Amino acid sequence: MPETDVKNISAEEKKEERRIVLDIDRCIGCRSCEVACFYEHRGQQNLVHSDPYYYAQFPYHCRQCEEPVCIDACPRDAIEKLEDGTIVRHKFKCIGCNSCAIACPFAAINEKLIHRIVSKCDLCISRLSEDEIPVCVATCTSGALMFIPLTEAIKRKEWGARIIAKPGLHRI
Amino acid sequence: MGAHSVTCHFCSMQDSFEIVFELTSQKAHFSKEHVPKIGYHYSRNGLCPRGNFCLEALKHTKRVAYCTVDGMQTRCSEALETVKERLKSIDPAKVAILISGSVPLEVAYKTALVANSCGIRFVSTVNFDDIITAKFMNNYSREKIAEQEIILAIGDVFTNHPTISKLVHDARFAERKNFLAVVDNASSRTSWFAWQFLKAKPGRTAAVVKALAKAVRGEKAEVKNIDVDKATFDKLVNLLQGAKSCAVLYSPGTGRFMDPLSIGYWAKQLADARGFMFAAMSTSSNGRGVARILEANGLGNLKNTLAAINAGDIEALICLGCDPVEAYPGIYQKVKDIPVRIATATLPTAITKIAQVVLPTKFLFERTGTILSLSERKYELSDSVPSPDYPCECAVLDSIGDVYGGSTDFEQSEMIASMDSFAYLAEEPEIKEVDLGEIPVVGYSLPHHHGDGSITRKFSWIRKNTAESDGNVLISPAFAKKMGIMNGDSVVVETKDGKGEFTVRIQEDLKDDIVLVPVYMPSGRAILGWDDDFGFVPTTGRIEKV
Repeated sequence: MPETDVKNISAEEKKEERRIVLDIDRCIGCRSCEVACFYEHRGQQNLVHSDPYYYAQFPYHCRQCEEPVCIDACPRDAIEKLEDGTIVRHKFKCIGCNSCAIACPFAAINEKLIHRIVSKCDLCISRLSEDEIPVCVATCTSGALMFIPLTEAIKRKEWGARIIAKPGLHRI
Repeated sequence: MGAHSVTCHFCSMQDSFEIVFELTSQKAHFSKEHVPKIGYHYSRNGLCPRGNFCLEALKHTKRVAYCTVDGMQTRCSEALETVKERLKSIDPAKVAILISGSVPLEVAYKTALVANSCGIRFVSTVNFDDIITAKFMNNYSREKIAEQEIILAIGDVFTNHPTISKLVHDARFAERKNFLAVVDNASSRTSWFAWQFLKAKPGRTAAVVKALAKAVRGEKAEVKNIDVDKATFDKLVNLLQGAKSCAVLYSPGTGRFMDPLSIGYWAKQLADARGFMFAAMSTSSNGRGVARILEANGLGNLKNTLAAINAGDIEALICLGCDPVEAYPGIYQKVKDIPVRIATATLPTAITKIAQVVLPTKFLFERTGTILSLSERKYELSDSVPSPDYPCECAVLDSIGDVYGGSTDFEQSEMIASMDSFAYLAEEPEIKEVDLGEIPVVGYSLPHHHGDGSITRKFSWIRKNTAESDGNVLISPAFAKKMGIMNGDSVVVETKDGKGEFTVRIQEDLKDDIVLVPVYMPSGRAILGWDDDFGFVPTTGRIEKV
């Protein structure tokens, strides 16, 4: 299991697009990532948990889509796609109309408004600029959340399928 | 100014977990200029939800920041004088001291010295699981967990100690073909991941663990009598007998097991028989040290202390950093009737509302002193976060010593020797076998709540995100169908100890007619069964839709 320590990542890798990936077979649903997100963003929570069938709990992050519909839905151009593919919301432009939250096909945008502003995961962009990893990944207790290059994330899809075939997975 | 690296207040795996506070100012703790910020430099192994609360704990808006006497704000010196004055007329034999498991060992030893020299008999930690797990010497190394061939978890280890989950997962994966086996009486956050889940009937877990230990030792074990799945049992025995390395992790929790001491004893026997790693994990690992110091000094009898409070024999109750009212809601009225009530507290909990004298105290990451880790290491809290000069527990203990003429001076080596003289459990305790009938009521917890929840329920994330959903009773889909109950219905759960109204949450993986009640809420604790030796235990109940 490669560590997601940004300090050990080469300069070339740093330039690479990186994403938060969840290994569902590790997540214990402790909501540690959600708590950390809440405090990091001063009470504005950008990360929520899925609770399918009240059985398994796991966080669902913004997938930073290649063709983000939230950008199209925003009437005030408050959402922007950066060069590295990260989709950020400019909170001073946001009017809290909820259009992006409704448009998001993954329900990854938190509909709960804080000060009439919609919140959305931005991969902790301020931490990235300081060579830190997103706070939810840093605080994950079970090693389920990883911050890895996009190419690695795609490779892991195959690896993930093999994990699910392991004995002991009683969840969904 | 600068970073302060301290050990996590709540984590039971303190050997590896540190939280770095970056303070932007050395000014007074509650000023606007002072903005502590948590750094995650040391948290590559993860911080549990409770660890994430520590920043808010430091600067909580409702933090107990000044002394009060009869509800009026006063100087600390005056509050301590009031403590002396009110204790003067009280016989020390009628004084009780309850102490938190998160105070440094020095405070525990000082309490023992003061109590013994003053003739105070009723002194104890506030958690039964501290007292139970203290009786077992751990043979545990956090670093080696991920290398174990088998992890045998007894109880809901992941919920009570979330930070260990990464290491257990590392053992399961990484191409090591290692296994997680779980023994518990209900499905849990830990059993979700189990390769083998040996499910015991509530009330019979001790017998199951005993049979497992005996079978692993090669002795005869009757599976019929303990009513578990024989195939799973045999598979687990074979696995444990052939294992080269294994970690036995035992987390009794609260209200989960009928006989937690016997379970611990037999889990330890199992581990010792094969030279496996063993850890008995309490609410906070330092609580085991506090319990050992008190017991080694002839104190620490929580059963007698609570009985004395219930019998009205106590005339002065001193709570050092703990809240017995939230931990044991049934004694609320009795505590209220005690003539002298003194408390040190960090946040306003139930006891601070009824205590006549309240003194502010420090969180563990503001304290200095020695604490005990899960791997039995005693280490110094040397780089704590600066805090105001609160009088804390030591000042209260000095005041008690002044009133009754007790001694409070000691050397560090005396304290260590005292703790080392603790007698671990050597003899097999008698197993209490109980048939809980058709509907057992068992306690459960959540990772973001700590202990009785008196502190964690004060945090803004909990209040904003989980306040409505917390406190549910959990039942299985089949049971819900049988009772005609839907998700979100209001139900009344009634046991011989009381009844309470809850919202139902149907949990898919629960298989039996079992009702899980929240132990992090006073309403859940109030209906659980009671055993004088072990505190809250599972009980028989009935559930009705409102």
